[in-house]
Amino acid sequence: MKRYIKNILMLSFAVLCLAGCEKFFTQYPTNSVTKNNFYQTDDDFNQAVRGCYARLKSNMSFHLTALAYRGDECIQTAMTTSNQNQYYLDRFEENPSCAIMSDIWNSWYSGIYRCNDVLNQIEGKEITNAAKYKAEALFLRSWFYFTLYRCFGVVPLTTVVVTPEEAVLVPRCTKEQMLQRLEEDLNFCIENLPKTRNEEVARVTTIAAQALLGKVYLTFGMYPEAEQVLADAMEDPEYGLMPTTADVFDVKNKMNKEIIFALYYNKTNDHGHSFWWDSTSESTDRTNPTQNLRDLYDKDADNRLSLIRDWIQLEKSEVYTEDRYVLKKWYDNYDQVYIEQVGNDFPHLRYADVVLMMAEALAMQDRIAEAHTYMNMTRQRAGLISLDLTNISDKDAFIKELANERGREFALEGQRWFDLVRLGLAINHFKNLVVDYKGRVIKYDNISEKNLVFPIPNDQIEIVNNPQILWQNPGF
Amino acid sequence: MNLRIHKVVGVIAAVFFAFLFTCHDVCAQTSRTITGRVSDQNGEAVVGAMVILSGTNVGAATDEQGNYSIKIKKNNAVLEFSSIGYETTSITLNDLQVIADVVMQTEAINLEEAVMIGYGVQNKRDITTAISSIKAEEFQNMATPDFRDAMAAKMPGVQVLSLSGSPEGDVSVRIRGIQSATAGNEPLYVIDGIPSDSRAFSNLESSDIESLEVLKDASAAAIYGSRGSCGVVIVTTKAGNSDRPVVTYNGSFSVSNVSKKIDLLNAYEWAEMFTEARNGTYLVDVPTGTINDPYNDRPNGKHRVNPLVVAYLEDETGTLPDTDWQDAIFRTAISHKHSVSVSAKTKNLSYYVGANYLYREGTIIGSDFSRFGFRFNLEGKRRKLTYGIRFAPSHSKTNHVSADTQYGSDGVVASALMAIPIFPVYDVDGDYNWDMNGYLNKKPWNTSVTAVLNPVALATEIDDVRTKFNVTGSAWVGYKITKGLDYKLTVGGDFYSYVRNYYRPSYIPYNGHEYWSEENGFTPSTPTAKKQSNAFYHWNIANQLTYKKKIKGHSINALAVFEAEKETSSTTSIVGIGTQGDDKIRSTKGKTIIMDDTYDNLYSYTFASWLVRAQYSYKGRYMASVSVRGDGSSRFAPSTRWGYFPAASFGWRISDEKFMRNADWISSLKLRASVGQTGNAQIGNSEYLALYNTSTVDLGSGVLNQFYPSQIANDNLGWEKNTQFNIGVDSDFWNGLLSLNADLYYTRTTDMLFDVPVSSLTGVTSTYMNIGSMENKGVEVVATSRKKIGDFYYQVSANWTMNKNKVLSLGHENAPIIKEASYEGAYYITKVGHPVGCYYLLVQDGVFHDQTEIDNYPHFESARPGDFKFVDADGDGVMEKDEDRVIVGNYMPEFYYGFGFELGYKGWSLDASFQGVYGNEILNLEKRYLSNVTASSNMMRETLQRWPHGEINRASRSTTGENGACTSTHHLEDGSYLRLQNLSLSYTFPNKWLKKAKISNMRLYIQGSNLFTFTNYSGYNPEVNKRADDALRPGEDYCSYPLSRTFSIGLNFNM
Repeated sequence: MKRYIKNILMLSFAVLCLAGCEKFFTQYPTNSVTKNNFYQTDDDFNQAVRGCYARLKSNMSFHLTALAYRGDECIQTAMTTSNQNQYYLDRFEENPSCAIMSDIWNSWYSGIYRCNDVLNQIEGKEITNAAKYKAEALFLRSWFYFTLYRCFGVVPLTTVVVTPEEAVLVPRCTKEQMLQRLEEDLNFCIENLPKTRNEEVARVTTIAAQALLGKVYLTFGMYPEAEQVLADAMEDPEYGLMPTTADVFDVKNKMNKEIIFALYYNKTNDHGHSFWWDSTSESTDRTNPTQNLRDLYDKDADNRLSLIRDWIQLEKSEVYTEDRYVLKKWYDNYDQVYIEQVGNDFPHLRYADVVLMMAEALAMQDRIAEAHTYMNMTRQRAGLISLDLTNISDKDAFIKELANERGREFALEGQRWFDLVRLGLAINHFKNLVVDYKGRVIKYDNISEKNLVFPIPNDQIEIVNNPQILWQNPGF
Repeated sequence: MNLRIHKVVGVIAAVFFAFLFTCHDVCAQTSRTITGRVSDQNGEAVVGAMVILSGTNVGAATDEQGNYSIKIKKNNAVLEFSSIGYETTSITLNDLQVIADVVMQTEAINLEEAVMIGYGVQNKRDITTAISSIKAEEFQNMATPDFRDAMAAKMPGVQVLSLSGSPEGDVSVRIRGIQSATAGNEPLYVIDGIPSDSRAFSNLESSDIESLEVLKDASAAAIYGSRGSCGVVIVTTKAGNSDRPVVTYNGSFSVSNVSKKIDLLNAYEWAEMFTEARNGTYLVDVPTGTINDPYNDRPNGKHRVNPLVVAYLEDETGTLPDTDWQDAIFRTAISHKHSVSVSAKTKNLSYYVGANYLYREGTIIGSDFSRFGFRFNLEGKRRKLTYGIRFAPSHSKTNHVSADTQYGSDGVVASALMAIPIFPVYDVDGDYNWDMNGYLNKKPWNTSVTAVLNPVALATEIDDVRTKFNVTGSAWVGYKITKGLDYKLTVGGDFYSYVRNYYRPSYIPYNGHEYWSEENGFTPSTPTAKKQSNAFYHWNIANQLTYKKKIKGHSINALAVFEAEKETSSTTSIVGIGTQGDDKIRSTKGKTIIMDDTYDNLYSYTFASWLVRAQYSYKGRYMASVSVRGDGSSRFAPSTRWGYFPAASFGWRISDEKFMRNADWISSLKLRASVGQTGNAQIGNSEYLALYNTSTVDLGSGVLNQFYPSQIANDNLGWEKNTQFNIGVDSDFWNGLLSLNADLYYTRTTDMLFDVPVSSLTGVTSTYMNIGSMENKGVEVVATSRKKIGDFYYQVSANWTMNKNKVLSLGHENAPIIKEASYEGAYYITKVGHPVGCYYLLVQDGVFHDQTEIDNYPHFESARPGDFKFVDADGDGVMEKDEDRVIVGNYMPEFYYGFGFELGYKGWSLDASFQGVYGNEILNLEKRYLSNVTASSNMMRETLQRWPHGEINRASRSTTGENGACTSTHHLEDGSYLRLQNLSLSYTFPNKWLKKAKISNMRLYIQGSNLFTFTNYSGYNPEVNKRADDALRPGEDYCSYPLSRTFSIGLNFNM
């Protein structure tokens, strides 16, 4: 009997120990990985970097809808309950509570968080490809910060993962800090990114960092630096212009030599997307460009016009019994399997951009003749005649023409609004813009200096609740 | 020291009252002094025992040695001795006696009066907290498989909601309202000492249950600490209690029908409405048109009527069927149940072995439930050792029909309600008719109706078999260390497995007219097969030390427990899609697996807890109990892991005071007060962890894995806490002629978990924080009266509960939480100052009668005469869907109540119980189809009152004036009801009749359940709640399994 009692007491003692043990409370789910168990091998980091890339696609409507309405590529003709936000954005009546602002802010900060997480975790770990992963994460973070900068001006800058308590103490940086961050990080990328693509063709190489840094320099008005880095970029033998712009977008030429940095879509394995088709070719919907944009083209000579003018009717299917149309630029050879998807890549940076940025860097340094050489590259490809100093010799005139050329080349690629702002043309352009929509005149003359950046999302200002840390942009 | 004061006070009080009431007698006769010692059976002094001269108010109390002294002046005097915890005894004195020693027997805790209080038993008279209790006899005739139905209408403060009438039962329990907005609100269930989720007794047989206690106030529930905030239900199963083996049989046979059908249009009425709605839309869209314009010339499907319907209306000879689709899916269902047990109790051993079987048909065709189970309970002792085992395996099988989904998701009830009555169930050749899925949309032209699948086929041809296998068990050993000090080790747990096999055959088409053709009727679908399973393994181990001590009038009962538990659950799913037209193998075998729906996950959580409790009683008059529990859980980060939950309660049994001795009519009167804190940990298992999840991405070399952070670390996540104050009174007058119990409580939930917006720099936009607070206050009253007069006895009882819930603070800036109902046009709001989860809708105020009325009141742009008029609630002169929403009601009742009676004469017994709810509202969202007056599907007969015939919006296929698109108070109904829950008549045969057959206690009964419901609610069930686990969005009726009315005949006997 005594032994019996002893056993009971020992068992209860064992249970006491068990429960006292930290291990008893450590219960992890099997369908996720916890932080401590993740980030151990090279492959862990590789997969996490892929997760950073995946985040790029999280706000597709930013590139297509928000920026196309903001620029003059698309318009909202009337306000309905479902399109209020786009309508305000289109007419320069945006306000800080507009959901589009918080969508931009949230999705790109979420990308920054993923990059920071990888960068923080890789520090001090023995990982074979650490430099490459770091460079990729830094490149993507730079892209997110640069996009935020172009949208909102200076924004809170953090290079580490922050808790909710720490987050509200991170202030909007200065312009200099933003430039310094981007410059340092992208230079690291130029040093450490691979020169050539591996089989994961959508992962960035050196030229992506060079092209992005070129754009950063142009945006900050550092033209000689831009010229230098773009010249370096053009030395890369693996990249160049495709014979025509249409070839760049053809799904048969995915990730061709002109594409430097793009959202990679592939519908053959269910990784396409369904953003671009519409049930009519008539509506002024998200990807139905305005007449004003079409008027930029020489309609007889410019072979790029058909990309944004001609609609292709898609085949009907069991699922889609109604009519559907898609612009030629985004046409994919629709099949019956993933009928609702398209697989075109959506380029963020392409070689034509490098070429035209070079033209911009030179023109800004008053080297118009040299600038013509670069602008003519895309003109010639489009079937237009070459221009020289006899046509345009004045810097301002050249810049204006360059903006038009960029508008034609990069129609609906999310460049137009930022181009007009960077080139200093936005206010004048919109003040004089008159859109004739079915006999109705739509004007944009209430644009002012404040509209060159978006308002900081109101919910973020309320959360931080400290104007010394996160203040609203002037005028909002 | 204390002791002495008590004694002194006791004596003074006794003397004082004795003096007060008996003064006039004292001087009349010669008196003598009786002295003596009162001891217990062990010879120890009984301190503070009352010694009373029978028939007078003369009394005394015993001192610390148990000695007393009392002056009497009577002959043939009788002295009565009473003390708490002892049987009351009396002795008759002979006239010369001056010394009288008495031995008092310790009072055995009467089984009737014993109440489980969590980690122990307490005599009902000593309870100081709010506990409701029901015993075995209340369960024995239950017609439903879920024993929790037995609590309905019997306990104040306990709301048992019958969410639907599905054969396996669908019950939700709320104790004293809603305690949490985002964590769970189900009480904790404890079966034979083992904490369990509700799954553990989904298969529990009600005739195996001995008693069921509900710990309602925080002080009682705090003994379960972190999980007690929504109340605790303690279930105790039976043990043997007869000294020779007794075989008991319980059996019944029942017949059920749906208790209500919804009043729908018949074929002719529907055809008229259909025509009126199409013409109505035509005249609006084409102002130059007339209703005589040929249908095929009209521009839109919404303008056209089918030639079949035109002919039918012109020639009323009944050329079309008139199908009652509700009759087609409902049936008279039979069920029967049997349970047999053998039990006995010998000196050292008691056992209870039972087996049970239940079969219950559903009132919807194609649905049924069967269950069998066993129970083996054994208890024994050997010298200082006690031990016990409880073990109960069970198995059940449900043939499930999808009653609570919509018509597009194979909802049987929704499809039956919406199916147009002009189509038959079967074609002439006996096959299912599918014309409702497209005929009126295709032949000869589109008339824009809602395509619906044949509900009879949905109910009978889709396989959805759900089996549950469940084992609950525990074993314990106890050891008496020294006198009063006991140790007990309990190890228990449960295993539960749930397997679902689902198959949707190819010959049931997809919903939609594109799958209908004139030639074939329908296009085969691709069949879907699913195999889903959940398994739970849960163990619990508890070490318990109890100490009991009685020192004179003081009784101390102390407890210390250390326990740990762990639950691991796995969930697996395989979903496969087969080939069109191939239904040979009705499982996932050979199907194309859908990766997104196929998974295999494992989760677990652990709790470790300690608790101490001390209960003190002085002479049964003054009682106090204090306890504190510490809980640690794997669900929280190390810094917030442990929560501490203290409680205290006090009771004062006034009726035992000497000054009450004269009030004979007061049999018992006790005041109680308690305060306590509990916690709520009904949150996900890993909410605090930083987690990474996997997905795929294609970066040019095919689909590859990517990892991404899916959840950020939340080290501050902590327990929701509930602090409750309770005062109560338990009373009994004239020995049961009237008993009254009442409780008043106030609960405040703090640190309530809310999803709070945070800076996006963190990587997320919101995270859970302990930030909100809420209160519940309420009153509970029970009154009972019982009396036995010769062979006749009666018992009448009634209870009434009122609970008011109010949100005190929410997250960020107290921003209200607005949530959508199942349909995006309907909303709920949770706002400071209001109850949680209020309906937030436009207010509909009749219809616009003419254009002038429209012009003079804010309206939607498209409003026309006959459209609904909505109130411009914010008074800004503009009708806006968002701005003009207001709080219009809540699912929580203002009060609920139950009452019943039991009448007995010799062997006959008649009893009835009613239950009622007052002041709750139901969002009858199904009315967006059944009362939209578009006649695109069948509608409720109330739509005949459309404008200009009544005050419902005009018939029109287009949803103009936002009539159909806006959910408003038109869809909100009063859910108040009074229901005759149970009426039964039974006869118990005199034992002497059956003596030869060795049968005793034979009882035959007939019973009706859910016989009548008085309510204005137009749906099936005024207690329906689509999302019982979502406190922010309660009380929606979007189709459910109708409740049934059941008649049973049953037999019980012992051998």
